[in-house]
Amino acid sequence: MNINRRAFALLAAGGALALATACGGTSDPAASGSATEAATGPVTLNLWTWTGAPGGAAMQRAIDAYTKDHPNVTIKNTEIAQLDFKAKVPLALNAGEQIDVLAVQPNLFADQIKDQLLPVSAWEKDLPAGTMAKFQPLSLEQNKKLYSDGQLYSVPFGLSGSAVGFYNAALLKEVGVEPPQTFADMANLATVLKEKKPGVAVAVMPSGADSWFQDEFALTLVGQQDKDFFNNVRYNNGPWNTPSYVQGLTALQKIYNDGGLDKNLIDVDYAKAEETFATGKAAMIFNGTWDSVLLSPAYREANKIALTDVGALPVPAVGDPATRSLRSFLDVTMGVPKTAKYPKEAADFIAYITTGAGVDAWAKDLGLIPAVQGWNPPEGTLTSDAEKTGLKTIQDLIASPHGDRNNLSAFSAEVGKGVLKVIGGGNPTEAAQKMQDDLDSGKFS
Amino acid sequence: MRRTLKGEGRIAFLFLIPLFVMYAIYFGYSFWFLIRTSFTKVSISFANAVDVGWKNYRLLLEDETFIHAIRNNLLFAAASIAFALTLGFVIAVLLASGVGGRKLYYAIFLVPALTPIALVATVFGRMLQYQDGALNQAFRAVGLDGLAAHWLTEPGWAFAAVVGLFAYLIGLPIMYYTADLSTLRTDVLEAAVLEGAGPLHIMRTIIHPMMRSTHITVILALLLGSFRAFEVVLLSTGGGPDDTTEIVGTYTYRFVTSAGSTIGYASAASVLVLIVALLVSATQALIARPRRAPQERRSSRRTKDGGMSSRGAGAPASPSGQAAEKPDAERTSR
Repeated sequence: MNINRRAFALLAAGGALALATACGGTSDPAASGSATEAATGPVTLNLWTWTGAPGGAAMQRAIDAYTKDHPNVTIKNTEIAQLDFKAKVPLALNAGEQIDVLAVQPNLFADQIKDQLLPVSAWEKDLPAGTMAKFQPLSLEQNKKLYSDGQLYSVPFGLSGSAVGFYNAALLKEVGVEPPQTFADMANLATVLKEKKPGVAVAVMPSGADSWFQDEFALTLVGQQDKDFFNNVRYNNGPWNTPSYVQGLTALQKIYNDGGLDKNLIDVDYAKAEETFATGKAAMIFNGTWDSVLLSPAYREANKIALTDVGALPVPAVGDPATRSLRSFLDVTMGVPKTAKYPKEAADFIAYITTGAGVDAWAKDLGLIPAVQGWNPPEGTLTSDAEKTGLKTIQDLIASPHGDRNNLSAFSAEVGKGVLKVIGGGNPTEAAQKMQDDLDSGKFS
Repeated sequence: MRRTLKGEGRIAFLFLIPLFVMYAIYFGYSFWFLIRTSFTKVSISFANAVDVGWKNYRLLLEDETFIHAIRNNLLFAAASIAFALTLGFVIAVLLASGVGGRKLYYAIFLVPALTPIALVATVFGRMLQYQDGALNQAFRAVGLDGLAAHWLTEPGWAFAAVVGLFAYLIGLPIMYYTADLSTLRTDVLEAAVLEGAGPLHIMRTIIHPMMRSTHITVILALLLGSFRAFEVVLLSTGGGPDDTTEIVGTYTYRFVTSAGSTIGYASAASVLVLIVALLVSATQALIARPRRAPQERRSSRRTKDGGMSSRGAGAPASPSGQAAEKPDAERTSR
């Protein structure tokens, strides 16, 4: 076949153009500068989140509110199951898929994909003035810990903490007991319930097949005696089997033996624990602050939870009530990938949902505590004193934790089993040593 | 017997090529990827993998929990096989013998096997909880409070509960046996009845040996299936208490879903499990290899020369089952 020079030149030019167009799809817009200019026509932002960050319906409310004010912008939220998110996002980014706003999981994942994210410094100028100053200082500090080079590649969205307690305020009022501050109070509550409300357990928490929460609960108790314990392990390679940890396990064992917690409920999984509390079969539930949805009357009504009033409190103290606290950390952060087509619009939307008017739209569900300073739920979200005080308690606890809830999940599950063994009568020192051996093995890091 | 045509093998091979290619891509690539990943320290993003040599394998082989998990896999498989070869077999024979309400019984035994295992395991887990579990509630309702136990948190009971759950899922073996029983030669059974053999005797010395190939299928299916039965444990006991019921599936799952760089470690665990499963299959295949009697081998040689095969000639059953093999048509009907 003969191809004349003119035809060949046209083909070559066409090929080069096609190649340039294709490459342009994955180029760094911050570097080129062209894409950072505001789009004049219709804009479609692709947002990727995982389930619970903050949840499809909650995010849609924020999207609807934003697009109402920005009629040229359409936002598509791709919500992916949490476990799949870590696998799918890197693949999509490597393939050059247009993602304009990405929810970034605040764990090892963040640092692993940082090379595919625009540094915040590249789009900070597109945020409304003073946006960065609106974040809680602690949330920005925790955000920096996510990235090995000390730069910010995402901004805080929401925080959570663990462990915390929620109580059936109406039930406690009925039996004439104040919300417990110590485990001695808990044992007293158990005695009162046995007398006045037989069949109602003092407290329930995820356990059994969801033993990871036992690790969370034990660490909360340990933090009452040794505030630096977890951060020392997590960031300084500190030991796990410290005297304070063994002391925490010993205290936990004693709490169960004294009746402050019910040994008969250590086989319930997450769902059963929720069900037990929601159906009034337990006066309290211990869980993460993500369960603060229970404070919302609207949530309880929508989910047919018959509890009329719910409050929240810190995990009771083993000794001095002043030591009560929890571990908290960022739960969701928001970044702009290099594959973003509209980084400027993405930055504006991020500001709207993290520190702007969009916060109320998603945060009124109360599952995540917003990272913006001084947030209060919209009027009417909470009605009773117990609900309002409970949310304030949770916000205060998250803002001043004793350590970061920056877990290694596989290790957490392993530790949870050890904690359950101690509750069942195992030796706390031996259990702590086994956890130390597991940690030293390197298989969990 | 039809003669093999010249070049027929090559044509058959050509037709098989697409299948081989598909297998090579699907399995070959998967295995290669798994093996390659097992020598690295990497997260689920598969980015920035660090080569760690044999470290993951060394850690696994030094990990008592992993060894314990493999042992549990084999123990649960053994229990499952024991139930299938005894209870499952007897149930299948009884149902095939024409008892009344057969369809109802089939439904009762087969439905668990056809129901998603995740659902069955979750319901079992709920039923066995101490406080509100149906089993303890039932004991309390009839005044047998003393029998209420911590089924999921006492190590012995938890192990027994998982064994019970495996036993509950014997519907598939029953189905295998039922299918094979329908092809069983009735003349042998009639002869036995005429000779005065009782039902138990017939079941033990005639039917059981005649179904040797089904036993092998059942054993292999349950043995290898135990390595994939991770929902059974995850959703009932979660592997606890204290690793008592841990199996390799639940063990690996924790590392796959971890936030850390543990995918290489999980891959190494999968490779080791794959090797164990292959060894089990090879051993089982060797043990279960049909051993033909000298007389039969002579007959086979005659067959090659165009004579009649002795297999399927209705040779009397023997306890070992060697001479009780069914005709090829029957054996391949499943």
